[in-house]
Amino acid sequence: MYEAELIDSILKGNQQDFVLLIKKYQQGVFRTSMGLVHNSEDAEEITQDVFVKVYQSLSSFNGKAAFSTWLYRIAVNTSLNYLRKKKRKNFWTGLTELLQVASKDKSIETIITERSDNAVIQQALDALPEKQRLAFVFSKYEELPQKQVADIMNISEGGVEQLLIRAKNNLKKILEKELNRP
Amino acid sequence: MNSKKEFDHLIESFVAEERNKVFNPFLSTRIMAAIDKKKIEKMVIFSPVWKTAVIAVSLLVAVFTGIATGGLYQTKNTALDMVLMSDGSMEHFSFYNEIGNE
Repeated sequence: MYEAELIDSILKGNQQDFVLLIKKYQQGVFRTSMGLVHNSEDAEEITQDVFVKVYQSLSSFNGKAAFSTWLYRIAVNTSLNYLRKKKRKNFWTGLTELLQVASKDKSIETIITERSDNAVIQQALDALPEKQRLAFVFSKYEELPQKQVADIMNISEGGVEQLLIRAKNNLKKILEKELNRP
Repeated sequence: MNSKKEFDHLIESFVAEERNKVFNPFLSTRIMAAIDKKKIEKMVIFSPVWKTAVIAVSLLVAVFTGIATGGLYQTKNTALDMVLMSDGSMEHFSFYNEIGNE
């Protein structure tokens, strides 16, 4: 069944057809949110939220853009909102935990320098400007063609290429600084 | 650690590791359950029983607010106010009677 027919059928009340849409796109949505939140449980929760939102607002999908483009936009917005909420919530708890650990066993400096390379890469990715980060996630995590990334981000293909080059350079700069620390 | 290739490799292996994370195989079932739950919540909120109850409660609140507001009114002796009220200074009619000002 084509995507448009599938959407029509869902809108007519065949809820079970939505399962087909979920199965087709769940991995993509999960990977995209994984690239932004770096935690599989959080990514699963976001994927669930995304599909619930999609189901609720399916009637507003006008078909001007591809369904996947619309879906990825919802996935990005949901992930970014999730991160903002989490950041606000975790700021104080994280700081308190770090200080508690530091006062007990090690200095803050020791804890930070002992972090694994993966944590440093994750931090470097999160430190990228939002557009660069999104372009990176879409092309590296989801391996979407540049044309589709451009459609999702509402910019030109050249713009996507520029963002990817800048993202790579920035990542290297941050990693050089972090990983070569004495 | 300084070489460009090493950084590329580090980034690529990090991305590959995150890309290969598997999600709950019952995720689609979970999503459908969440959709059903939302539907039920919506139905409960907008069900006719609730609508009737909300209208009845609103009417009761309106009636009692009216009674309470009415109870706030206090009778007052307005006769004294009328005596003290003098409109003599409100308009100076003599001003219009002077020839120069006509």
